[in-house]
Amino acid sequence: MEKNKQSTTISRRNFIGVATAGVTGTAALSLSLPQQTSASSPVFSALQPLKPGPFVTTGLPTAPPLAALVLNKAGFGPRPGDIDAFNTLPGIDDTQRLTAWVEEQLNPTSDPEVEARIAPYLANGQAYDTINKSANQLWGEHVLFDGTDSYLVNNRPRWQMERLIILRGIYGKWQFRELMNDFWFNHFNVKGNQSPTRSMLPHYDREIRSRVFGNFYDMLEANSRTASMLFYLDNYRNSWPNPNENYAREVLELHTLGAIENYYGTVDPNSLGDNIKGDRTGYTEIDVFQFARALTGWSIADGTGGTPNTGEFHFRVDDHYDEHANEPINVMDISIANNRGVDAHQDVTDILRYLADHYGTARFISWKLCTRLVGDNPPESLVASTAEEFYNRSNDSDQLKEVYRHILLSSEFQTTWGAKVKRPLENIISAMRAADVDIDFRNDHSPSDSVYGRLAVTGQEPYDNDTPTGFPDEKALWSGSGPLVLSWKTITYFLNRSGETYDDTDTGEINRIRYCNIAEQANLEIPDTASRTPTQLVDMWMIRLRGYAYDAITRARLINFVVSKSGLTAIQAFDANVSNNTDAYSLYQRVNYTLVGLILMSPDAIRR
Amino acid sequence: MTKYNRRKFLKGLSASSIAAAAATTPGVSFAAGSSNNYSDNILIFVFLRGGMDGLSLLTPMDGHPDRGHYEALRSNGTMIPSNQLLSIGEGFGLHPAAAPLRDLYQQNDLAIVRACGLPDYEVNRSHFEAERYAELGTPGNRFTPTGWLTRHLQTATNYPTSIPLPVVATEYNVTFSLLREPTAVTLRYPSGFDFDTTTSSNFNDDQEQALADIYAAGSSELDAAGQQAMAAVEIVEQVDFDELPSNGAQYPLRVGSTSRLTSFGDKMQILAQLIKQGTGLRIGQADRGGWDTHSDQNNLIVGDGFHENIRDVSESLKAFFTDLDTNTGDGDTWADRTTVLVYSEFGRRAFDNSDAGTDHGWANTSLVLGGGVNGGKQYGQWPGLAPDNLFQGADLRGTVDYRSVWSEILLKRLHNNQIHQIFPGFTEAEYKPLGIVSGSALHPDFNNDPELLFKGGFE
Repeated sequence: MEKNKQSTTISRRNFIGVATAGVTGTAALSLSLPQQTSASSPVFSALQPLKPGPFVTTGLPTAPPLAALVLNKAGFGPRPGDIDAFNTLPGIDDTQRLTAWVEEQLNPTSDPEVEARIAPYLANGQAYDTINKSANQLWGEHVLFDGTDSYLVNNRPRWQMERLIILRGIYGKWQFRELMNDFWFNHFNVKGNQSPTRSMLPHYDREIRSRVFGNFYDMLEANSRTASMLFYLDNYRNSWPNPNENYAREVLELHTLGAIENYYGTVDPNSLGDNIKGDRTGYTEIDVFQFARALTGWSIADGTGGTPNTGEFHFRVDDHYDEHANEPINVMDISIANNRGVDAHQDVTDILRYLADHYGTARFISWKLCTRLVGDNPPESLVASTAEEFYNRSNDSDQLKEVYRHILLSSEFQTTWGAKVKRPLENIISAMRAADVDIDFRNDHSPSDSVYGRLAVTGQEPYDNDTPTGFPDEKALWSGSGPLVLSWKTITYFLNRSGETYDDTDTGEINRIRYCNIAEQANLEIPDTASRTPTQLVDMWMIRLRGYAYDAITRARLINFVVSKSGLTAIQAFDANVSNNTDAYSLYQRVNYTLVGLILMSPDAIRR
Repeated sequence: MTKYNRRKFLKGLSASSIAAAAATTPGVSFAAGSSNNYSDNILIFVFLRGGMDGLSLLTPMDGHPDRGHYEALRSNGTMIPSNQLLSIGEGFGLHPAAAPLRDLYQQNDLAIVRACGLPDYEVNRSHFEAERYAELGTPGNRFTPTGWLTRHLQTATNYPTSIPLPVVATEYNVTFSLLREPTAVTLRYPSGFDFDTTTSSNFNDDQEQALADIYAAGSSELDAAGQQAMAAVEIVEQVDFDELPSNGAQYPLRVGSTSRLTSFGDKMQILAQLIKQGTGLRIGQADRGGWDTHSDQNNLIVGDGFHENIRDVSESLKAFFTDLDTNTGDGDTWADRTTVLVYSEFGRRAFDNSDAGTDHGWANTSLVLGGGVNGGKQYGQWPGLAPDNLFQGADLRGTVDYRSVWSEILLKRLHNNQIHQIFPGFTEAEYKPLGIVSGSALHPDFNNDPELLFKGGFE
């Protein structure tokens, strides 16, 4: 209090700047160097490189055939027939087939099965009636709704999008796109159960999904204008003279440069050097604050401050920093002259462009993609080469497509197996694909709700992550008993209903299969009744579900399981007339679906 | 008390797998269980995720020299009037919703640590980094493969050789504190912790056994995790999660509900049930989020925001200790054996922002409760709120390295002196015990040999 004799209250700006006597104006934007009390840390304290230790290549299990590896790492795992389809792609060897597969997956066209399963439910009042609504419609009809049952109306889009993720995962032809959709949503995570996001998710998803094969700056910039993100990270109310730093910080820390290699904390930004591309090497607390300045007024039209109530992006010029017009906004290498009036929103787009083009961003996002697709702590050489692709293509309209291609065609991708585990959502979708379930997965539908409710307690409920970082991606965090047991609980739940039917009141269909009929699948795969022995069933299921045979010990244990539950010897066939005998058929069904469960819960089914 | 099938123990602490465990985790040795109380002591780690605003939990009142600074700093909607604070002495008061904590404080069961956090050379205002620096026990290093509690368990020598359920995190995911701890069970919804049991089938047990055998045949990290999971199912099945709290303890209800507990209240109740029913729980972790109050922090209005957060945590902790105030059968109570440590990755900026919220800061208020605590006192030098006292003119300055607090608990309550293994890089000169807990302190071992740092649980 005594220091500041000019006023009786402490001006906020004097706190970001140390009250150095005699300095006015720009003093507010400078920062004193940290008081170093330990001799061990110089100002440029070495940050952790993204790859601190050796990439684990020992102790990993043997990789399965490439088709299985690819479909489990670059998608949600195979459906019956997918392995064969991969193996009949053009090419004389696996790598050529992979190249063909990648080229297909990077250029999706229509998605017929997904579209067919959604089509019956698009009409008003049906289970997918919000997913194609425009942003304006979502805002007007769902965000703003406050009549009776407003909770149901506000959340309807979210509930529909939650189920759509699962439907797309099970039936999507473009599996890699679904994986990338999930990756980028997590990268730009927002919490799904908050207003307005819970009502705007169809739009938020489209803004990401339509760009996953495009240009990163384009995706970043579009994301920065969404009501969901601007509300989630408070920027819709970021205004001068007291900026809210939340969004600025997370753009630097999570969306672009990343804190790992590029955050220099409380040092003087002018003391930082350059990286190998000649850009400033990282960001500091001052840059966070400056970026927050630039982002003041970057908001949404929500009816306040004279704006219309549309939920659209709206730049509030009056809230934007315009004092001290001669003081530029300095974020790293960018210096922006102030007071551009109504064009001041370029302050933001200029900075976003700089960040999107920055080599630090190229490295951080490349590292995240390599972690997702190859393994935790991916090799530095792969991260660096991927970053070169990302960096060099920063103005290309197909930048991300080529970045993915680079990773997917790398030898590391093709040879690494088991460095990741499937997270619960991936585990469960993978099992539903392998078991060839037949379900129009949607909201307010008993079979869907039963699965969704169980998935929701595994720790990876869609749109349910609290933090801007999204669901974590490290293997060790998902190998705990909770995610494993509760994923298995979900998988055994739908398998235990094998053969059950129900009457679908939405479509009028009676005796519709609830999830799958495992015994019937077995019969179709082994038409010769004399061949339906424990041994042949085990061998058939391993190939049908996974595409390759498990190790001998697992195989033996599976055969032993079937033998003990069926009362047969390993090479004795089930009764040929089992379908005529309710008890015998029931046993046959049960043996098969518990066997299928074992295969889908075994270690290799969880590995990526 | 439920008798557990002693053969259904978790790998790593079982008699028959000692050899296997020792082969893969050098340095771990489990001496035969003794009657030494320390090996029975329980540590519950409560992590408040998002950066709790410690300045709104422990606040200077009228009469404190910093009250004027506080009112000026927090003039944008987050100020707590002095007459609403709950006075606890030295000019400080607790947040109005923290009455249960004040009760514990006055019973000498709560110690408050002021201005605690990362060391000044590794201040980090990123959640991502700061929480890792704390939980991995290595400020500045976010890639440490194990957590501080993992390394405690790896280096402890006084635990019995066989414990059914020694380590539980009431979370969906393994926490950083317990990263790669083989015996850790993540148990967010314990009463459903099993395969599907909605069909009556004598296949269920056989299927579980077959899966356990398949995982037991492998040796990768995932195989070990699967075995742990199957063993955990067996044990958790035997716990009665419908058991009512003892002594009329009332865990907090959700706002607007007459029957549903808050999420955090539910977690603490689960931990209490596990403790009282003799699962052998030694280390527990419960997280509580919702502290990243950048806008509309709401310190004063009941039912929402920071106010509700504090109510939830305060009532949960008080109920927890009331619930645990039951006899162990060995002449003490479970509450006597249980220490709770409450920490958040950073506090928040000293001045609030234009959205009636606060941004990220540094030093924070931390709590230590329960068994062995020298409660009813405030620890740590208060750094002051005058402009010159603030770090970068912005944050409460840290005066207590979190590792000093956590090391003291390890040394005096759990009798583990392997500080150099658990907090590699933490030097003897930096260790400044404040006397927060009682117990004969082992001499801490600061020899620089952090070989365990790079060992995972099963590698």
